[in-house]
Amino acid sequence: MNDVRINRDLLRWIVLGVAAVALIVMVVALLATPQNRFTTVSYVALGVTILGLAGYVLLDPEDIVQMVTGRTGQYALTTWLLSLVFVAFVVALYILLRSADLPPWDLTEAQKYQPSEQTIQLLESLDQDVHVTGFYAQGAEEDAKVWLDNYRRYSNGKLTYEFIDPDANPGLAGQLGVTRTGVLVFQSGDNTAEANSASERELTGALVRVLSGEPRKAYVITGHGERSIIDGAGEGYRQADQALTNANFEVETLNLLETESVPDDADLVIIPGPTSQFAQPEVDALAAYLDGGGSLFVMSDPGTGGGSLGNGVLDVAFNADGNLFASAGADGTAKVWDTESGDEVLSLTGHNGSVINVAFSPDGNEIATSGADGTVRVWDAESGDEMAQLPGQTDAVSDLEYSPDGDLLASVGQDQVVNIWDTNNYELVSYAPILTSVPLFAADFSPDGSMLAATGARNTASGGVTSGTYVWDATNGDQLVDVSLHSALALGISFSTDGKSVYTTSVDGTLGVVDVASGEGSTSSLYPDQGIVTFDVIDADTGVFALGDASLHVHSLTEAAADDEEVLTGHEDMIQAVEVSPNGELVVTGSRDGTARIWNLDTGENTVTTRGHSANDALTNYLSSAWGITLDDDVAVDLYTASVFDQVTPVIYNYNPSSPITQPLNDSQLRMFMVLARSITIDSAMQEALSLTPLLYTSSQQGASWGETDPYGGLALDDQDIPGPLTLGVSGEDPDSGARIVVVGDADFASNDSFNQPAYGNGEFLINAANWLTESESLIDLPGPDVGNRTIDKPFSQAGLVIMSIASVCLAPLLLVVAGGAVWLARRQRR
Amino acid sequence: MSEVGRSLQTLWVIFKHEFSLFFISPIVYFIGAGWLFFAGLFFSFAMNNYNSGLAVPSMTSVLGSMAFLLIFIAPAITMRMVSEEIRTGTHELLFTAPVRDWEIIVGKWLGSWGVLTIFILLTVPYPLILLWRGTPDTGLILAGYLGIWLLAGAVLAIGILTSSLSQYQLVAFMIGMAVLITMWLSDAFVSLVSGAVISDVLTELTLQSHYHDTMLSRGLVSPLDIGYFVGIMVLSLFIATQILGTRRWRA
Repeated sequence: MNDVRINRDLLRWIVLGVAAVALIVMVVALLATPQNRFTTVSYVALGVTILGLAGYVLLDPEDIVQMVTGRTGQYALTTWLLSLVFVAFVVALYILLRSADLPPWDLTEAQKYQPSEQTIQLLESLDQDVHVTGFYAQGAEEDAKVWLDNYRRYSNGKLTYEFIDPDANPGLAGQLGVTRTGVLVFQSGDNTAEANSASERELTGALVRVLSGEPRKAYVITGHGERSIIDGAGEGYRQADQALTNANFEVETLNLLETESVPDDADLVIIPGPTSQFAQPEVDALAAYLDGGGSLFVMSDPGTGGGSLGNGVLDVAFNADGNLFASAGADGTAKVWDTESGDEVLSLTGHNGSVINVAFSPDGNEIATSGADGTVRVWDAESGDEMAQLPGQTDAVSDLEYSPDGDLLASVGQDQVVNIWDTNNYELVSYAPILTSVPLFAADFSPDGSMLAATGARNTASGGVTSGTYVWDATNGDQLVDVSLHSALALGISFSTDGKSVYTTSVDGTLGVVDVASGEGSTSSLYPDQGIVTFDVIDADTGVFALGDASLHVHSLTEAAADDEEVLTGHEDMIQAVEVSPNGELVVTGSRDGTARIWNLDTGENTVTTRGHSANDALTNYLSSAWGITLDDDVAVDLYTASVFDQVTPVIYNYNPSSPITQPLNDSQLRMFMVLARSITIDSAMQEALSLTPLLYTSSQQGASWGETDPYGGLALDDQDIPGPLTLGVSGEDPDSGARIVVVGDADFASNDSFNQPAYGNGEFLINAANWLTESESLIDLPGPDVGNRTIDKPFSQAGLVIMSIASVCLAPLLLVVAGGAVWLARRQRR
Repeated sequence: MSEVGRSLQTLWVIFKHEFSLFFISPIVYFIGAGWLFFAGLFFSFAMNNYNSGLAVPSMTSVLGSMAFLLIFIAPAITMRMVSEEIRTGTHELLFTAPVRDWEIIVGKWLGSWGVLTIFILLTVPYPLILLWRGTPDTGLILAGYLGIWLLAGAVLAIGILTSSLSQYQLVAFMIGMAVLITMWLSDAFVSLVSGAVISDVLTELTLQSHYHDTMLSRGLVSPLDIGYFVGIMVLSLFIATQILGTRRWRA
């Protein structure tokens, strides 16, 4: 009996031990899951724990009863009752202490959580209730809690707060228009204001705004192909508009050509990714606004001034007689010139943003243009009046061609769509639109008008490029050819003079030729060093090629190894368009340098140079000359973060930790990303006077990032490129006028697509910048916390580090082991 | 001799006895060696980052990891203390005058706290290295050390309590660890329960948040956190005393 008793006792403890192990397993399982959620393992472990505890009790219920009742029931009962009273007393003391709400002592030298005098005065003078709702994932609110507790203590109970986990309670978040965590919404009466992070600057800013109640007025510039705040598509800014509205901005659009000045009530002007150039009067209006203490937020995509579509003259075209030629400009106009004299005959204005293409109808009565605004417009070639406007492309149109008989007008775009209109009624023909599988860059009708060819290319997932060349029957839309020839961007296409083959060119310098009958194609390398931007066919054997280095080469179409027949130079920047005159004697070129030129193929002479389109964007010039902020002509490449999206979508984790705009992002280690960004160079001579502050950088690893100045030459760091780390965002402040400016080398970062990537801080950056830009409107300018310079200023050498590590990891514990061994030996000897 | 004076003297004697008992056994040296090994490892990793400017120098990450280690070390140190007492009644024999249960419990607890205080002091060279080589925030480091010392006292008190539950040391150790690790993040259980009061209690009970969120990572010493640790000590030691009492009455 006694033996059984002992065994059962041991068993009880084993069961209890199992329960304890199960409890540990459960907690470890909780620790291992995100946000410590319960999973099957932790539920099972919880079950085992409960069973074990029950087993422990049931195996010897007497013991438990005895433990509670003790030797003599009455004595023990009194003891336990007294104990309960004592426990309740301690707990009550703790609750009392908790409700006393005593402020903590801040032992740190930085005193990071101590509000400034301005904030304390504001809180002490609060005469209305303010309620703060913080939206944080559970457990992430601690910083905000410390701040808000401090605010609450100074506010005499006027300020209250609560925290909501938006995952657990999406209703309230939606009601207050909150789409992400880390946001604090201040409410007072009917007013609301948002703080974007838990810092004094943001919290006090929101407090001031919610007390004043006045929303800040933000004007978004239109008229240059900017992103639209009502556009819900991927590249649109509808969500940015919503975020700004939530942050207490009243957002409106502004066309400076119409108003001629920035309205007086503007607190902020935003220029979201112009794709064409600004006119000087518009920039003068912006400059006057800034001189009066205004705030400007510029987001600019790669491609100087004119934006992503290039600069200067983007397309050229002869009329059927060859006595006139037209040019399409990034300045938003198309112009018609006399081929002989170079005089301007006509100027066509109306496109919103750059004019990308221009074409004469074969009868010479009409001119068709396409623009960055996605429209195709038809103009009277005599009067310059707009006759028709054709929608249809969702993206910018990249080429526009009339059929030789003038009955059809075809446009191709990067949206992979081919539109073909009947020019009699400007209705799409029955078989249009045609969809392809690559973004299209160029198109050409066969000389007899029976076929239409187009070419384009797309990036592949592996980092390469796949091109596509198509030929369709122009009468019924049947696809005759679909072949992939080039391994780089293909920008040029032209039928041979006999219409039996199609030539294509690529930026890697290769010439492709496709036999239409067989559908077979081949490529040969012509200009591997310079690359071919575009070309045109002169006759059966020769073509004229515009290379990446601004030169024009006449070369055989059939013999790749042949020497150049002629090299024409004179353009100061890349040639973006070339067309041979109908009689084959002249060539017209359009260049990024802003000029269109006529060349005589016989003499090689540059007979006419027009200068009607400006090469430089007035806005870019102003930023550079007045603010010392130069938008570089490059595309930012970041190999270090390439695995996240791709090489030209840098992920930004490298922030300026001391700027109020980027400090919260840096502190919360929230990353941003940009799509096709350009770098920014700061003029060091103006840096100090205008407080020019870099905000965002690409990766700082050696050779990991650079600004690619020659995107047609492939992504490789060479001498002409700008070495990283690149600056992708800059802020500045004019101390005299109080004007503030933020310039970012990308507009995609605030697009709907980016807002749809909630793990990134793009939206937070936008709001932080907008808040900083309008801070003077909040009547408060808080000093940032003086965190001091907390660094290791005398770092260890590599050897010193190793020695220190060995000493702390091995030597110190070893000493204790030896001491323990000595004690053990001594004890043994004593025995 | 007044009652208080007598108690203090008794406490002092028990403390001295228990404290010195630790150092004549090799085990505490080995536990200390393990403690220093991990501390050295954590610090070496952290120092590597500070050295290359990847992180701001502080003791936050090192002390945070050490605090978690306490969960395993504290029950290892206390596991034998009360169970042994129940078995042998050592202190009854040490004194001619009767010794009160609470004096034994508190004296033993003070002895174990003394050991962990020495363990903690053994890591002081690390912040000294930081001060020698750079400019860390000394206030933040001080708050971190104050916190880990209070935390050690609280977890040892819980260890003493669980040690009083069973005469088997291993069981006492396992229960102690289970209780501590559960308390370490009892706020994780909030998702399991409904009701604001229960979730408030669970959140308030969490060991980690009273140290990590305030003293360790922000340098804020809140009276509430100190009250929490002192409360844990008082309650654990009180319950341990009661259990010791009933167990001895039964024996």
